[in-house]
Formats: sequence, structure tokens, C-alpha cells
Amino acid sequence: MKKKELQAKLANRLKEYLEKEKQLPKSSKDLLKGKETGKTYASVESEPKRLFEHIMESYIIETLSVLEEDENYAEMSVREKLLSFYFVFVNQIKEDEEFLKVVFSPRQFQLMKHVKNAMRPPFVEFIDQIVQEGIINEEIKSRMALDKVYSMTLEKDLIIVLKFWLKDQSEDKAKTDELIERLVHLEMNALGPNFMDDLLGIGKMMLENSPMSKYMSR
Amino acid sequence: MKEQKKIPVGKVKRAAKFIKTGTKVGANYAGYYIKKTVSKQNKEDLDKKNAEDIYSAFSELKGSALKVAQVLSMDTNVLPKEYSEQFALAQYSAPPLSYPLVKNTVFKTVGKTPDQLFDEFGKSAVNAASIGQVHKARIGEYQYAVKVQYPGVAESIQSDLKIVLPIARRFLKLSKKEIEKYAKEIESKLLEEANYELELERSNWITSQCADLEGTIFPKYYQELSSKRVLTMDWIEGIHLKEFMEQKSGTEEANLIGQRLWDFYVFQIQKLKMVHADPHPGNFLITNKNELGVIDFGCVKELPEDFYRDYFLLFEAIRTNQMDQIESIMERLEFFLETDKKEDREKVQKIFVDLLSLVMKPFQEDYFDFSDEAFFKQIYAYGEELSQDKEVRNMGSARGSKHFIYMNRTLFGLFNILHVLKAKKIKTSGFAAIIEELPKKSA
Repeated sequence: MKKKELQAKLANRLKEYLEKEKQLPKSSKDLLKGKETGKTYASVESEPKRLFEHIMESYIIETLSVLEEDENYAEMSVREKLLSFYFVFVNQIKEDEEFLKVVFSPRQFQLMKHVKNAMRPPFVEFIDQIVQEGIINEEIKSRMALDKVYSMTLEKDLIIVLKFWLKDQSEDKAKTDELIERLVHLEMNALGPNFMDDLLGIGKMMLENSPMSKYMSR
Repeated sequence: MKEQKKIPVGKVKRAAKFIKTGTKVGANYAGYYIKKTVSKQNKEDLDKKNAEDIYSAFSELKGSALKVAQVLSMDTNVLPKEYSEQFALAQYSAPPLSYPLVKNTVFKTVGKTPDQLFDEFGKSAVNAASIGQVHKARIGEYQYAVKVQYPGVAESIQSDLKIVLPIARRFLKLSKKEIEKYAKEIESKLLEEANYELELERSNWITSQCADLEGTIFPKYYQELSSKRVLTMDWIEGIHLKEFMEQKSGTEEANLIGQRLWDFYVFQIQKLKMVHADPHPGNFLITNKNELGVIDFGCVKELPEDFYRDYFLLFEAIRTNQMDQIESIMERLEFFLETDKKEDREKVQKIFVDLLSLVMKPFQEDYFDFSDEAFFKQIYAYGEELSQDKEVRNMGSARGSKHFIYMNRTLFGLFNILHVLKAKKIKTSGFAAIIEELPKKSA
């Protein structure tokens, strides 16, 4: 069995274990079945911590691959790409609700912090691309130094959506859909050209025409 | 429909004009049943800041709360006029859903994406309503209208009502108990409206029953392309009634459409005891052959037999001036309270007899001229007069069966459309047949 398959197999065992036991395994041995020994999985990193990383990362990677397969995806606006990302993402995690409830329970604070970090690299890469694309097609306004914080702002939304989804009791989790729609519109309206640019423009003009301006040019 | 950030002013103004006329005439009267009359003094006493707070609370809400606000604010006496208009119009300004969300809703509830279900699916909505939006789609040569519901509407109804009702109660000065029976009726209708599976079932039934109505057409509904939150029906080519009113009001064609509307409603009330209770111009299309297309069965009121019989028996008793009959029917229709003194009962009876005499006017004649300003002014003036009547104010309490809310909404909605159409010669005879066919009183 290839390393990836073994890792996936063990990750599934971990999900099953958490759903059943509602707590973390004390060691990776707890995940073994029948005559299996630690050696069976020697070729993969079988530390539960690493398995969590693998699972969380794969949600993002699989979401992105579903989007790439969509023939309309390339033509979408940045706003639509972000919306599509979240709708596909919540669809990817829906089978693992019980597992994620354990991972994101307040008792597992350390683990939660860890898995959040595990999702970061592929998600941040996606977000960075989105921001760049938005700046080029002018859906997102380039505001010089502020550009650096755009990705950080958008990055937080993933955990907001995930936590809201876990608590969402509405039928078909329709409230999460509503949240995604609102959240993405809010972010895109804030990052796109808006009244803040006019405000900054006026501020800059006032400053340039004030007595202070002579000190500024020195 | 272009995804709009702002409401086009012209469109709003036109719609406002229609709704304003409608609410003034219909709701002043209808509202009387469900509220204590707010006196002029009270109105002036309303703290402006409070009103603004309430408006901002309402305007934050969408879907169900908006609907409740619309129903409760129909009476321009209750909230400042501008606010009432805002609520009435708000459904035109609900922001359209993004295509990814539409796609997700179809996928989640029907099981396939729009691209998998249809050969072509319009990414932008062609029309919006308070709880959903419509997309145009195609399979082969057939065109479909696909209505997609805003997410979370059904779940919000109860919680939204919890927010809206205490505010409304404060304005209407009603006790919790008094508003409860009306609130329950509104809530159940809103929940039904958010259930597209029920709408599909009812649409199919009503349309099959109305199949022989001349010049009135209905789309076919497709269960396999629908779900609780997605409703697929035939696309009917035509212009919206609102647009038709602007272009053709006062013409022979407008009269013909008015007649078709009248026949459609009387048939439902009389034969089906189940009526399309949302006569909003957005729910009708006019084809190039001047057919009336009925495209939305979200709000359907089932008329209980007892209520239906008493409603028309009351008309008949008023027409023939049988005072004893009037009193006992009004008793059954919950107009009187246990606490009423003899003079209260007499006063209530007089008020409603006078009002109903006006309302039943179109039913009594062979032909009725709905363009007649005097008729509508008379009803409106009577409502105004009542609101100034000190005795009535002192008597104030919620009166009348809960079924009046949607029955009145239906009749006044219809009367208003016919008025805006300036339909001069509507054949309204048939009242005798209604009375003749009234179901016998159940044991």
C-alpha cells in the first residue's frame, strides 16, 4: 500500500475513533485493528497530531480540486470564487461533523489551535491568489501598505464559517449558506473600491493643503 | 434581472403609487378588525425616535419579518406613512442571491447542480420576491422558471416573529392574548409560504381545478426539478401585471384582464373554498394574447366551511336587512366580546353593517365600475371617520375571526388591482348563486 493510502486509511480510523469515543486516542496504537502492529503503518507518520494535520489539510486541498474541475470556475469573479470555495468546503466536511465537533470542542483548545494551523498553508495560498487576481481585475482596491493585511482578513473567515457550521441547527444548514453569502459580500465590499477611498483622498488633500504640508515635504 | 445595489427610483415610485393606493383603501378597513383604533392624539404622541428605532430594527430583517412588517404596517395609521411604504416596497430591494449560492441550494436540495439539470440556466435572477428569486432555464426547446428560496427563511420565521410582534403590539396597543390568534394565523401562512413542496402540491391542485377558466393560464410544475427550497415551473412569456397597468390602464384590454381576475377569484372562493391570497401584481403575467398568467401560489388561504358560510350569510342578512340574523352571525364570527355592554354590541354592529354594506357593493350589482374613485374614497373616509370616533376608541379591542385577515387581504387586493386597472365594466353578478350554493350549517 502506498504511503498516501496508508495515511488516508489511518486518518479514517482516527475519525471513526473520535466519533465513537468522543475523545482523543492516547496513542496511535489505539487505532490499530486485528493483527495490525505499529509496523503496518511504519512508513507513515502515525502520530495522531500528524494525522489531524493530514485530515484538515485534505479538506482544503479537496475543495480546491473540486473547484478546479468546475469548467465555469475560471470565468468566475473573485467574489464568486470565494463564495464557491466556502459552499464546496462545507459540502466536503459534512460527513465529518461528529469528528469536527470533538476537534473543535472547547476542551481541545491545543488541538484546535494545531488543526487551524494545519489548514493554513493551502488556504493562504488560495487566498493570496484570489487577492492578487482581485487587484488585477479591480474587484479589490490596491491600497498600498494595506494590501498585506487583506489575506489575513480573509483567512479568518474560514474558521468563522467552520465554527458557525458546527453549531448550525437549521435544516440543510441553510443558515451557514446565509452566513457565507453575507460574510463574503461584507469582505468584498470592504476590500473593493468604496467610500473609504474617497475619505482617504479627502484626508490626503486636506493634509497637502494645510500648513503642515511644508514639514511633510522636507 | 441585473444584480442591483440600489433600487431604481422610477420603478419604486411607480410601485409605491400602487401600493399606497392599495394599503390606504384596504388596510384601513381590514386593520380595524385586528387592532384598537389608534387615535390622532396617540399618533402624535408616538415618539419619533422610537419610530425610527423600530424602522431600523425592521429594515435589518428580511424574508419573514419583512412579510410580517408588511402585513402589520398595512395600516398607514399605525406607522408613519414613509415607513409603511418602505416596508411595502422592501421586497423589491432584497439583494439578489449570488449564483454560487443558487447553485449550492439547487445541489443541496434537488441533488444535482443547475448545469446537470438544465441545458441552460440563467446565472442572474430575472425577478425577485420577498423570500426568493426566479431564474430562467431551458431543456431542449422548453423554458422553465426556477424559483430559488433565500437560505434560512423558514428557520427565521419564528424567531423573527418574536422580534416583530412585541414591537407591533406596542404600536397597536394590544395585549399578548389579543394579538396571539392573529399572529398564529400569520405565522402559519408564512411557514406555508416558505414550503415550496406544499406550494407545488397546491398549485397543481388549484390549476387543475381552474383549467376551464377562459383566458387564464397556469404554468405546469415539475416535482423532479423541485424541492423544499426550489420550485420549477413552465416559463410563461408575458409582461408583469404592474407593467401592463402602466401601459393599458383604462383600456378595453385592461377591463378584459380585470374580468379574468374577478372570475378567477370568485371561482376559487365559491367553488374551491381555497384562494390565492396574495393578489400582488407581481404574481400575475399578461401574455400577448391577453391571457392572465397566474404564477405564484405561495400564499393560499383555505376557507373553513363555517367561516365561508357565515361570511356570505352576513352579506345576505345585511342586504335583506335582517337584524336578528346579523347579530347572531356576527356573534359566530367573533365580533362581540363577553365584556361588551348592550350599547357596545349595538355600536359594533352598526359599524360593521355600514362597512360591509360598502364592501359588498360590487357583489350586488350586475356590473361594477372599479374605476369609480367615489367608491374607494367612501371606504377610506369611513375608516378615517372611525379612527376619530371617541366611542369606538374607548371600546377598542381586537375583533373578528382570524380568517378575516387573509380573506380581506384577498378581496381588497383584488379590488385595488381592478381600481388601478381602471376596469369600468366588470361583470360581478353571481352573488345570488353564491348564496344559493352556501353549504348547510354543520351539526
